[in-house]
Amino acid sequence: MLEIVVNNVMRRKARTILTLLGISLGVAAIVTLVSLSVGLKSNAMDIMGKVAGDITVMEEGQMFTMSNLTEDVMGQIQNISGVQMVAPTVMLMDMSRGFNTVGTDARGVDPGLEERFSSSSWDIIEGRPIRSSDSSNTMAGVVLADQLDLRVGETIEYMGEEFRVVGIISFGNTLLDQAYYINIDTARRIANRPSDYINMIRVKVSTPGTEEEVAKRINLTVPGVEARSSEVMSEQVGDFLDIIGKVTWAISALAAIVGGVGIANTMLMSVIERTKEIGLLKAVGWSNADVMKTVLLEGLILGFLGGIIGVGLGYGALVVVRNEVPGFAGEITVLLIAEAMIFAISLGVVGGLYPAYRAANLNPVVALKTE
Amino acid sequence: MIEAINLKKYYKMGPVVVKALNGVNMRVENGEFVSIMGPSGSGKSTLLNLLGALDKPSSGTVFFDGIDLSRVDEAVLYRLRRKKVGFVFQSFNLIPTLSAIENVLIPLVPTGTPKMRGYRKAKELLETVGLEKRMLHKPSEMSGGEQQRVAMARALVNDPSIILADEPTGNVDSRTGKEIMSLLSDLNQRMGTTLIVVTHDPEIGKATQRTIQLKDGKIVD
Repeated sequence: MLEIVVNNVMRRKARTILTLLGISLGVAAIVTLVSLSVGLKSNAMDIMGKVAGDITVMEEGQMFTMSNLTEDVMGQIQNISGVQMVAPTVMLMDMSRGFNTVGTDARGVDPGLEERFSSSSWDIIEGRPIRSSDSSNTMAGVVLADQLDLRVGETIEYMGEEFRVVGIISFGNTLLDQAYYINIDTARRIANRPSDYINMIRVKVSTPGTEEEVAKRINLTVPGVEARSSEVMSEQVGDFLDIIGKVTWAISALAAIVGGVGIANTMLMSVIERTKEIGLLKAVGWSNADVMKTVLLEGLILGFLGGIIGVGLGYGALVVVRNEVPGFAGEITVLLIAEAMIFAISLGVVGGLYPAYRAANLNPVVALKTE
Repeated sequence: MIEAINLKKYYKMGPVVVKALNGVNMRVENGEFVSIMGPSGSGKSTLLNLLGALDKPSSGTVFFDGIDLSRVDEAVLYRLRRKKVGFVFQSFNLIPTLSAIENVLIPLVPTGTPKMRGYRKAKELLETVGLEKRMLHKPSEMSGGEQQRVAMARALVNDPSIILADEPTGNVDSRTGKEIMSLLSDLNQRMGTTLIVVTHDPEIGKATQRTIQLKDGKIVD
């Protein structure tokens, strides 16, 4: 039976190739987009763990650049029991460079404080950290430095200001390593904000394991702020990224289903073309189930081949993304390959259901008369 | 033994009812070589299809080895065709993508016959019909006569008790037609296979033991 099925699949090669292309592009979309979203989650979780310190404090109901706090608030938090150290950040985004473009992000930090706060998180790759007197100097994250080929001593331009690169640092995660680090006073001036402006306060706790407890204490004591332990924040970000992951699956599955419709169309054409042959099979004693089996097997083979090609194309696309974005954590897991293959094969079989039903229920006398 | 009792087959074509068979009574004993003759549209092929369990009558009955075909379901009909009937068609009905030997093997595919045994059997049959050198050729590489011989080997591969041939010489030249009839006759004599041949050629009719004449869906002789 398999020889007959393979013969049928190979009968119209160009049509088979086009059908395979349809389903494989859908599968490639699943593999690429899902692995990218998994990578995105992995990177984001990594960042949550490292950027935030133990607790992140922002204005209630606001996030990142939209958050508006003051040094006064930082002072109040510093005095809460269980807090070991606090550090301010003014986040800048140069949207004129476009979203998610290299060199968009800059973080204004208090140089003296930051060295103590982050010394266990960063490695100085080259040069030195910025100092309080460095109003026009910057540290560049290592990924950013690699992408823009920056060296210590070079001058860069950011939001209309010129900065000299004095150090290249690595936090070991892509997002942090894609930012410039400048003096907080300079960041405030660029953002046209008052001298006590902060949009994010990072907090280290005195005793590990008390992050949630201290975050609750901050929320109760300081009005107008929202403190999140990095664990809770990670969970929230994780939940959000899970939704993105599911939406990604749904969108790419839709693309693959379009490929599945292609399979159904191809097989229906093929069954119509072979009406007389199917009549012959039934005349010589093939049951409806036997005929159905051959058509479904064709669908399965198309789905399987489409799946393999799709996984290959998806892997190729991921390799390209990884080369373009150093440090990106996206990867194709065995589970993802298995899911994509099962999906592709199921599509092939489901796509073959109607053509198979139609073939199986042909009246052999009528089918044999077909020209 | 195969017997038709008051066999009727009507088709509705729009508002018109076509009476393809209108009360046929006949009986063919095991080992007989019978021809069914008649003008176009007389119901020859319809009768053959009903005798071969390929179609169901509008009324009346076909008894095939004692089984009332009008009372059984589809599954019994295809099992009967698989085990006891061999069909030979005017237009050969070979699958163009398969070689001669693969075409011969088609009826064995759903029977679960071991592959090697099937191949041996198909090879023997192709040798019997004189195609031992053409086994791996596709139908497009063979003459009409060769294709019909492949179709005959296919009809024999399941060791049927009856072969139903619908105008088996209709698409070949007269010399090849004689060869095919000679093969069928030889088969009937050597193996005792029951043969029913539909034809409009009186020469072929003469070569059979008995001729049934059909006209307007009824037996006239």
